Parts: sequence; C-alpha cells; structure tokens
Amino acid sequence: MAARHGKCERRQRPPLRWQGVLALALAAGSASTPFAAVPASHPFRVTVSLNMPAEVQAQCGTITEPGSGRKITVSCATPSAPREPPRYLLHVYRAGEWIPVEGEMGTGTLTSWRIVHVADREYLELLVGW
Amino acid sequence: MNKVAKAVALASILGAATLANAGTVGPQNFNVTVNLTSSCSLTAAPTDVAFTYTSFGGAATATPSNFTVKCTNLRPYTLALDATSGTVIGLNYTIALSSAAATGTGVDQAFQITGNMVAGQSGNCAGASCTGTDVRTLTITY
Repeated sequence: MAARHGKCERRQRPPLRWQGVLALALAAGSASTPFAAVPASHPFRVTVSLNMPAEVQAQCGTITEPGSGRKITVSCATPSAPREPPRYLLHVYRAGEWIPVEGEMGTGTLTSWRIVHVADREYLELLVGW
Repeated sequence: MNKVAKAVALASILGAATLANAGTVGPQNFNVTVNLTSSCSLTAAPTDVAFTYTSFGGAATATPSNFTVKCTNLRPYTLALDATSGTVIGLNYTIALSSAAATGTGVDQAFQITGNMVAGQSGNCAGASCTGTDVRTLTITY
C-alpha cells in the first residue's frame, strides 16, 4: 500500500520547474482577476416610422371686390364630406354688403357681375368661371 | 510443535513487528482552491426600440427594447448606452435604460430600453410615410 501511495504522489506532482511557472501564473491571475472590468457590448436598432397626418384640405379663396381692385378673403374652411350634388354657399358683394346666395353651384371665380333692369325689375347677372 | 506450527508462529511474530514499526500519520489538512472567473453575458440581445410618429402629432412612446443579462451570482455590473438621445429622419428621440446597475443572480435578469419623442415635430419625409434607423450600443461592464 505504501508503495502505491508513493507512486501516485510522484505521478500527480508536476516537476519542480513547472511548479514554479504554475505558481507564478496563479499569483498573476489572482492579482488581476478581481479588479478586471470586462465590458460586453451589443448593438441595437432604434427604428422610426414617420407618417404624414391625415390630409386636411381647407378651401380658401380671395375675391376681387368689384371696382376696387382690392383682394378680400372671402372664406377659408375645412370642407365637409362632399355630397352629391355638392352645394356651396356663394357670397356676392353688392352695394357695400355681402349677399349670401345659396345654390347648387361649383366653386369658381366671380369674374364679373352686373345688374340688369328689365321691365322695372332688377336682375343680378353673375359671370363665374371654374 | 511440528514444522507447520512453527512456521505460522514465526510469520505472526514478523507481522506484528512490521505493524508496530509502520505506525500512523496524523490528520493532514489540505486546501481545495477554486479560482472562479466572473462572467456576464447577454442571454437575449436587445430588440429594436420602435417609434411610430405622426408629423406634428402628439408625443410618442416607443415599443420598448427587451433584453436579458445573466451574470455570476453576486457579481455587480453596470449597464450603459452609448447615447441617450439621437435624431432619425429629422425626429429627435430619447432612450433610457430601466436600470443602470444590478447584481448578478446566476439566472437571467430582464431589462428594458424605453424611448420617447416630444410632440410637434415635423420630421423629414418626401412621401406619405418614411422609416429610418439608428444604431445604438448597449454596454455591460462587470
């Protein structure tokens, strides 16, 4: 038994010259490991999807006041859902005041207007282009 | 005694003498040394921080990025982003970590990167919709 123990010890123990190297390596390792800060990095993506807002249409228009040449803003509003047939509110400037005339007319430009006297009655004649 | 009996007796005496000379060696202590190298790893890489924004719209919160870290039990570590703000297709964003430091538990630990955009930004987009991507870096130090 004693002989076998002795044989085992000789087999497990590294040569003296290697013991020195091993001891040095362990000493160096134990000195550096506790203080080492090891970073681990990983990329990731920031994705952005940009959408345009719901389209908002505003009907804005200007009209030239007859005779003056000045531009006057007459309306600017978000239209409601179109109906068939579309209905519009037409504002007509006459004798210093705006007269609303509602009818089934398309949006256009009032190019000229005049009052026509026929048989003691006045008729408003509008020329609108669109 | 006959010859056989004499032989047995001699063997017994020799054996007893041998045992008396061998004796016993007392308890011997020896060290079991363990050199444990701490480790941390991303067990689930961070997913995308995803924004959906409407031009001139309200503030936006991103779909957060999720990731998990597994570190040696009791090992403290820190988490950091290379930047906490950026700009993609003209939209400014900010991102933040759910935690800047933690201690390892030996099992997965979950974290998040959240993102925000302030309201009223225009963005850069020639079409009806656009997408853009920025690449950021998460660093774990242990």
